[in-house]
Amino acid sequence: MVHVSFYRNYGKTFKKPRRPYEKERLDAELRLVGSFGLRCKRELWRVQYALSRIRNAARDLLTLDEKDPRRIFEGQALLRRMFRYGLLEATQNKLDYVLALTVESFLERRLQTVVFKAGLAKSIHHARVLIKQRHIRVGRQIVNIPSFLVRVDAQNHVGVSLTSSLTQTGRPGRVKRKAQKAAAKKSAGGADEDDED
Amino acid sequence: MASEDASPSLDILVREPEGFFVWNGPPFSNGQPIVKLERVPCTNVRFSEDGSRLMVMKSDSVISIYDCDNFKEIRSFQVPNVAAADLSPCGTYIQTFQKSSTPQEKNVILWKTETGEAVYQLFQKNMTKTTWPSIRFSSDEAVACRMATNEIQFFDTTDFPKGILYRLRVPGVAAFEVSKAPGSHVAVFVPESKGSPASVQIYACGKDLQSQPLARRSFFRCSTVQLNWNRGSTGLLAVAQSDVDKTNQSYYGESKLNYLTTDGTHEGLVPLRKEGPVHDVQWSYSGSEFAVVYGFMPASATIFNKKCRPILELGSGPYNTVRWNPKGKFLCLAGFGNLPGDMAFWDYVDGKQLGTTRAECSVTSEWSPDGRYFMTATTAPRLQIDNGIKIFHHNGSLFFKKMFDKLFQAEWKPVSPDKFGDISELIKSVGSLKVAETKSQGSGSASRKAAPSNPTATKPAAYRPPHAKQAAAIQAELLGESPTPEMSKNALRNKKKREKQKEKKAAEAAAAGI
Repeated sequence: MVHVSFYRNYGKTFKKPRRPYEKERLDAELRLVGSFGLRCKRELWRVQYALSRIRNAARDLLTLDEKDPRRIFEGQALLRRMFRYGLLEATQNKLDYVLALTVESFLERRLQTVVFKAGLAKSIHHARVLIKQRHIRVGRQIVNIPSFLVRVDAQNHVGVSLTSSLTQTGRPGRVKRKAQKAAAKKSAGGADEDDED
Repeated sequence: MASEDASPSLDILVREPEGFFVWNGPPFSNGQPIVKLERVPCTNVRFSEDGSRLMVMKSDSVISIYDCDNFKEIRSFQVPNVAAADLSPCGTYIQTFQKSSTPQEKNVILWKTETGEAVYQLFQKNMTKTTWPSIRFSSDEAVACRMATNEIQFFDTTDFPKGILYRLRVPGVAAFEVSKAPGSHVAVFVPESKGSPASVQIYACGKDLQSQPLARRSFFRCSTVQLNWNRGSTGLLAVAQSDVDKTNQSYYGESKLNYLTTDGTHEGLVPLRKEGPVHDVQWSYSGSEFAVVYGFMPASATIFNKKCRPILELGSGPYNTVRWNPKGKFLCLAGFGNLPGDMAFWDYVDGKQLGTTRAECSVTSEWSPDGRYFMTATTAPRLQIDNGIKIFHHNGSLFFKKMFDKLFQAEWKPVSPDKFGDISELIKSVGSLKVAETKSQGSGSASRKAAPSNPTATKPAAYRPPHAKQAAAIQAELLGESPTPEMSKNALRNKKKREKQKEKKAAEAAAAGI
């Protein structure tokens, strides 16, 4: 953890479960981790923590009076964020729908799943590798983070980045360059040249 | 209405086991079509794209070309062992494919139909769906090109013996499609190889060939692509299909719809609201919007404009095909193939549904070139019984029906839709309906009733087992409907008792009140 005396602003992003060895919870978590290609349980607990904070906010707003200015303002802001990230449909415009959100709806919006669902990767794990190896762009920006929550308006602009070695326009990758150099050397140098390491 | 006199006639071509004949198109004078061309024995028949020439394969080695205005044979070709033949869009050239074993024998020959001489020959080992026709033309025959390994070769359409004009080098190309009208661009598909994804690229057809594509879209998880240009060659729709579904949702594989524009403004997926395969996607005849039928059954249908924004949702239902009307503003959503054949006719400019009907077991469906009629046909060899033709009006009412013993092919003669006037009477009648509605409700509803609404297929009555009379009453109560009058004797007796008790109580309350 970060040394407290130098940094003031940090907060925890995940919460460990209360009971460590509960069979149903372990099974359910493992299923989610497998189907969404997460790296560890902490990535899942992080999403659960974010969801629980959002639900608390919504629950708290629902206890206020219907015409309360704070409820109206913050409620609209919360719903706008949910629409923007594709967690709620445009038809579900009441705070109650926020309480019905699930962890899966957040996990579906990660860049890793969006890349897989869009057909840019062969599997969910391939998607994570492609993202981390800087082959994926959202709009014009290369995004390196598999847990990037994709906004609805950006969803159709997820594509292969222009400088990626997977496309014809980009520079070929390290292995291919090495092979090309060895082939060029072999054809120019002759048979008695040793192969490069 | 006056413009109808100058418009060309509609013709219907019908092919049976004994041969084909041509009918005069609708409107039929006494309910039966007039035969324009008597039966001609043949094995296969095809129109050219603009409808000026008709190619008839008479037997294994004779191909005749007919002129479509008067249906006279203008030329006949002797081509031994021909396996396939194709006409160019304007009918100027015909290419034939013969089985050949040695590379010396050039087995794809391009003939000129007017003179009958062979203008170009080349060798092609085998013929598959993506590689036939070998030489593809644009609709005005300005551009002709052919796919060879790793490159696309362009020819001069006026002077074929000159040979290859120039080449466009695309390593690994597996399929291509020339834009139809005008032929300014060509789309190529390069499948997946080792690490790199499959891609669809658009190049411009020009002498000064740049090796850079105008637009490209890469994706994994696809084995075949269907490329669909629009009129005006500004947009390309690519349906990428794969045989195995990696998301494990469908046994039949998955398909994704991508949209690319030639000016590079949009290259990406089309945002579809529902998961599932893309059943059908068609550009409209104006080329500025397209309709998609997608999703697991019941499928949804949406119309997008050329900026890929949805402009109209057509609801969902058992549909898997969409057919645009060449004129006017109608389209037909239909469910053929493994679906029961429901058809819904829509007016997409107003967003209203005109009518629904059913055409069971149809194999092909096509609007007439003037847009007034919609013909569906049940053909062999797909279906061996119930062969026939049905013609509907643009709003779904049945106009004509004829059954055949065995029908192989039924289609309209293609005519450019610009040659026909607008369906003015329809626009007038729709307008009059609207005016009538504002004026007086009665006359509006009467004219609406007069407008033919086809009786929808009657739903078969639900089977109720003999003991289920009570069940029906309980269900009605549960669903909130009023209870049916046929209640059991006990139930009736209890009901009477309760009513009497209520009356007694009301009387007592009234007496106490006083």
